[in-house]
Amino acid sequence: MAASTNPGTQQKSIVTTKQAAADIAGHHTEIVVNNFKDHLFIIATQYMKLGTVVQVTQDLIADEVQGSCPMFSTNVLLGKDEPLTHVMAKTIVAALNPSKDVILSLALKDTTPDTVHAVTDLIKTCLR
Amino acid sequence: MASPSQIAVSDFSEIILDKTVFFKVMRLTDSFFVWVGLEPHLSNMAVAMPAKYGSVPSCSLLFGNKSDLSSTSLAQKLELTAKKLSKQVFVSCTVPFDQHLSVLVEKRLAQELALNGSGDL
Repeated sequence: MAASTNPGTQQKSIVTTKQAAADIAGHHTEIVVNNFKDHLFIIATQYMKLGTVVQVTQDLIADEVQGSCPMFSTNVLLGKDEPLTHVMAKTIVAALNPSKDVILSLALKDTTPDTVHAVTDLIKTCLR
Repeated sequence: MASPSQIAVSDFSEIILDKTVFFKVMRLTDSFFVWVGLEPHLSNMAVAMPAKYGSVPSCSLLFGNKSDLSSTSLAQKLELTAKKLSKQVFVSCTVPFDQHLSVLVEKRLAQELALNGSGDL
């Protein structure tokens, strides 16, 4: 170790991480939510890997009838860029209604609507 | 419903060259996620993985400023030092460029990955 490196630590972290795990339709599911100042980094995995990484950005569209309604744009950064990935990412993020952009990492063994909703509920427990 | 968590997250901070540098290391199956920063921003992310042919790991920036090479180079270097693990490394580095600081940050991370990396995964 170099002389200028001080092993004394002060604060543990400036980024909070919350974790949850559950069994969803027979698959062990892990959720990790990292709350950064500019992003939420959410990992939802049944393979214990990052899998497909999707960037979800929020565009506010002012609507004369409903007021402002949030719209989400999805961009697959890594992994399978197929319609289902975009649908799942939008479904999850729209349900969370976050105040910042989301980087979502999905690695699900089972992509049925029931599983996606269960995963969304599990993520919600980490955002409270 | 509740089952034990299989993803280990470790947080630590260290004073390097009079700056408090925060680290977050997540251990996943066959991969690591590393975040390094002075402030709680996630402004970029890079991934590096061992190349099948040749010794230089393949590396790509997933998002963020393409002209900021801090994440990609850190990912590539960690991949090289953690070569025997041959795992994917995801890196997000928001430490402003400093020749001396980045070497020390890299050293600290390599130590952390080597210390706990070969364990349970």
